[in-house]
Amino acid sequence: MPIPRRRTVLGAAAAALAAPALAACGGEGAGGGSKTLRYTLWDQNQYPAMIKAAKEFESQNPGVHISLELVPYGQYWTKLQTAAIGGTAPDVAWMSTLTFQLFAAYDQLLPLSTAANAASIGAANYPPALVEAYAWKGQQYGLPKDYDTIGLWYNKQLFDKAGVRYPDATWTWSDLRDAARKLTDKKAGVHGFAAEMSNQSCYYDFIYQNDGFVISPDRKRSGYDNPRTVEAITFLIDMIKDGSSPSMAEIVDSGSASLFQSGKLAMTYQGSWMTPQFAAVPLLKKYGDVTVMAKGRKRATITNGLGNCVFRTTRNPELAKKFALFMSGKRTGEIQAEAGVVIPGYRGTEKAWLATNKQWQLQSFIDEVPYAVPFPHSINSTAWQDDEQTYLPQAWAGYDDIGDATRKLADAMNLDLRREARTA
Amino acid sequence: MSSRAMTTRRASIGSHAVLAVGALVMVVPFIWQIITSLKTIGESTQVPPGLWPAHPQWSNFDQVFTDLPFGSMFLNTALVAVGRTVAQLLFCSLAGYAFARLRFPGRNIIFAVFLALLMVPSYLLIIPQYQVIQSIGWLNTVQGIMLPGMFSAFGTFLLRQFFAGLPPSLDEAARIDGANPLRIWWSVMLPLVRPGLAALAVLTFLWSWNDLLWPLVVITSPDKMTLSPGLASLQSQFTTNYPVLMAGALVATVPVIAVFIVLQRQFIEGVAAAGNKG
Repeated sequence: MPIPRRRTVLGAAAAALAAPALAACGGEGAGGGSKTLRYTLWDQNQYPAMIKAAKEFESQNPGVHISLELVPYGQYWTKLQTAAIGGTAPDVAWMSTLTFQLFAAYDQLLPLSTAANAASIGAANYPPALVEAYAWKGQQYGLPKDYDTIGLWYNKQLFDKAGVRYPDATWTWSDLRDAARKLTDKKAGVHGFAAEMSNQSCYYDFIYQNDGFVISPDRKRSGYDNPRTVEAITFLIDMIKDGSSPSMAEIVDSGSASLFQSGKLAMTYQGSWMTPQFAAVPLLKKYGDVTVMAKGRKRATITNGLGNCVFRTTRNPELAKKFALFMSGKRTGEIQAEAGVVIPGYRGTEKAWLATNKQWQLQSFIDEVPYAVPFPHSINSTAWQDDEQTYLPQAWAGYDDIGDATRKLADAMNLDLRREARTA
Repeated sequence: MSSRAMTTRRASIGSHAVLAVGALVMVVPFIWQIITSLKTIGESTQVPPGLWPAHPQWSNFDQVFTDLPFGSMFLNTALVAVGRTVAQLLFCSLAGYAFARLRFPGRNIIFAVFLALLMVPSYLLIIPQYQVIQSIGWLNTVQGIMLPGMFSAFGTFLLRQFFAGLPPSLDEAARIDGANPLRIWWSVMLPLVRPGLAALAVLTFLWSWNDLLWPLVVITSPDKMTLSPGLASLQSQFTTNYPVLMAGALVATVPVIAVFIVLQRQFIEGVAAAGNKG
């Protein structure tokens, strides 16, 4: 292979962008009126639905080719950051509420509209918490293509055996705790509930249900020194102490979902994304069900959703924006719902998703939307998520007093947030 | 006499027992992988885990081939692995030979700098290497994956040690016969370091076959992708279909095992030959 003479960085970037276009179009050059958009995503389970939606966009827009690039989640952000630094980012990419700010802060993303004018791109059709989560510094960078909430999954067989009433929308924290105690059967190795050290599908929900917070609304301060936050964590750890939840070690070893699938766990908080996996387990198909989470001082669920964001380096900004909106839009919503993997973000399109598993009250996930809280984040969330992973296990495993662990965590997190404010 | 035979026998039973346990430890994960590849999702995550699937799910293997463009991924992986292995054998043996047998000013300092390269974590090199490949215009090409792995400080170090262990009389004799350094390297030295070359070939091939992050960063279109990133994409953020993942990993491993069964004999022959000549 001859090595071409050195080109300018810009020229190389353009050439690199053109290369996949050429490969994808089978020799049809950019001058031939055809345009290629590169679209990066990470979920194999959603890939077929994304291909179908992209095909529809192609047929509605003659001469446009969408090149889908599936990247494993574990390496997704590394790849995207490397490509962005090299100036060869895709035109449109999946983003999460946690990460898009980092790309926006480094001026990599193209806003779809101003946040104030988000109605012009149809923002009213999406869960408000997530529309807000994709706004940054007055600009709207994305709309949620899907969303998730957390539900109280339970095993009716174990409830019948223990003679406990099934959970429903009237349940409060004390109902949850009492039931967990009654459902625990040490001899059978069954626990009532999993007080898991999992952020989105466990302790974050408890914290917000108790009127506490993980990060202050202005994203400048940690919430781990807030008494309500500490109280919520104490409530969870107490369930491990009185034996109605497996220990942290047991949960980490087997995973709460595996325990639930094996009939060793009567109740567990799990995200809507677990639906397809649980449906593949005969025991849960027959005896499983789901309802809204128990009410604390108030109702809350953590919600997250993926957005389609446009990179600034795109050579077809208007087309890329159109595609990003299409991939979050109504028709894509319907296609995603039929695939049954995630709840589509566009209001009204979730009906087909509900129908994929009629044996369960999946509507519970949608009922939770009005009080949904966006996944707590700041520009550099990973910094303080590492702090959580450092200090919280100490409390969960009982090595450290809960008050001490949360105080240390609050200090470490506040330090990170000050550092973040300096660099931003 | 007979008691001695008894002790030898007892010792041999003992060593066999130890070896059997070792073999079992090595083989069990592999057997577990085969069993898991035939389970349903529910069976694969059951607590406590069950041993046999109720009905072997051969369809998991079909699904690997529908989920991934397995054929082209396989071809790319083989191409990259062979290319890198051949290139490393060539370049590292040249460099190793120069560092061990040729005298030139600054030799030891340059070698020390090479060794220092071993301390640099590979993740640190991703972005500079990406920019190099980008400036050549090789992003999203198979040769783009191959290039950074065609030479290694480790391989140079490894082969230098082999070259340095050969008696100096060999190149003196060759030089008196009128051979130039390149000729000495090719005709005299290379045949003698065959075990070193075999070891480097094995290591490079395996490393390249498993390489995950670099191909992923360089390649954007699925038809140029290699197997490791393909298999990694079967793992999702929250849920993973482990049986299908295991089936895919199994199909990806089988050819490597085949290659090593073939190479193993040459590897041992190489070692034996070196022993005779020394």
